Order: sequence, then structure tokens, then C-alpha cells
Amino acid sequence: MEQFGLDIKLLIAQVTNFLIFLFIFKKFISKPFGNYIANEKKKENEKEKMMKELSERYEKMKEEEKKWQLGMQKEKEAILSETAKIAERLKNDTLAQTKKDSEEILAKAEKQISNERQTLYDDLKRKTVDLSTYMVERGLREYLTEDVQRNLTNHIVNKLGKDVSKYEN
Amino acid sequence: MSQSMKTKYGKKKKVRVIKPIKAVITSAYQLNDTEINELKSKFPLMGTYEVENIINPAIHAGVIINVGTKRIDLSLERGLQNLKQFIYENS
Repeated sequence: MEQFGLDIKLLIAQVTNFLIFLFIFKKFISKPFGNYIANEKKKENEKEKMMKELSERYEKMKEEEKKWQLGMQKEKEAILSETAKIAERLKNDTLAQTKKDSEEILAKAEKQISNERQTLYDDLKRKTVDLSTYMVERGLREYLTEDVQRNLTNHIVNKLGKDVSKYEN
Repeated sequence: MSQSMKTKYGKKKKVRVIKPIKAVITSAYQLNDTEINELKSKFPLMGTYEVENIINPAIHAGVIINVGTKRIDLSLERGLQNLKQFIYENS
């Protein structure tokens, strides 16, 4: 060995030194670091999995929202359509009622006018007749002397038939 | 009309005195006896009742005879009223 220039003691010391270093490296550096790396990798995987889940859930929610919006749109259209129908029906009913009311008012007014016209006509007729009879009475008062009254009375009594019971009341 | 009268028990009792029925003739002028008799002969309901003649110029001519609750209106005033009614109803 010495011929090759190797110091056996030094070699043994270096090998021992290396073995000690290897033992320490393995025990205190390599293993904890490996564990740390493995943990980090595990965490990363979990994060990715969670992200994927969240993304799926988000997509699902988005789809549900879309469906809900579609449903709401349909419902809104149905409500609008129904409201329009109701409004149309109400409008028609109101128009019909108004027409009926106005016709009734018109008929009532026409009847009232007719009644008032009849009342005026009756009043005028009554006044005309009253005035005529008043004039006749006044004329009679001037014309009827006692002789004329006597003759008229005799004429009235004489022209009665035999059956005078019909004049009784 | 009522008047007091003593009963056999000495108490006062009111009794109704009925007026005798009259034949009341209303005319526009004073009727003479001939006219009244003529009316009596025409209207037997006057019978032998006492006749009272009331003057009312408002009836113009003719007569109104009242006997009890019965009434015969033959006045010119009534004729005018009938004419008025006829014009009302037929014009």
C-alpha cells in the first residue's frame, strides 16, 4: 500500500469520517427534508383537489343559476302575459260597465226630460183651461141677471128625464 | 146637540137631541113657491121635509139639493167643473 503512496490509517480515518457524515446526514438532514417535501407535495395535491372541487361546484352553481334565470324569465313572461290578459279583461269590463251606465243615465235623462215636458204640458193645459173657465165664469157673472138665472134653472130642471136618481150622490 | 135631563134616580144624564131632517136647496137667487113645489115633484126624496132655501150666487144658476146625506148637484158651477174636467181629460 505504501508502494502506491496510500496511508492506510488516513484511509481508515477518512472512511470512518465519511460513514459518520453519512449517518448524520441521513439521520438529521435527509429524512426530515424528505418528510417536509412529502408533506408539501401532499398539501399541494389536496389544494389542487380542492380547487378542482371548487371549480366543479362553481360550474354547477353557474349552471343552476342559468337554469333558475331561465325559469324566472319564463315565469316573468307568464306573469306578464297573465297580467296583460287580466288588464285587457278589466278594460273590457270597465268599458262595458261604463257603456251600460252611460246608456242608463241617458235613458234616465230622456225619461226625466219627457216627464218634465209632460208636466209642463199638463201645467200649461191646466192653466189654459183654468183661464178659459175663469173667463167664462166672469162673462156669466156679467150676463146672468136674475131672470136669466131663473130661466136657466127652469131649463135645467125641465130637461131632466123622469129618472132623476142618477143625479144623486 | 145635547142637554141635561134628570133620570128617575135623580141623576143628570146627557141626551142627544136629533135635529129634524130638512131639504136644503141652494140656488143663485130666491126660489118662489112654484119652483120649490116643482122641485119637490121632480125629486121624491125631498118628500114632505121642511124646505130651506140658501142663496149662493157662486153657483151661477141651477140648484143644489141636500137631503140628509144625499146631494143632487144641478148647478151651472158643477156643469162648468164637468166641462173643465172633460177638457182636461180629452185635450
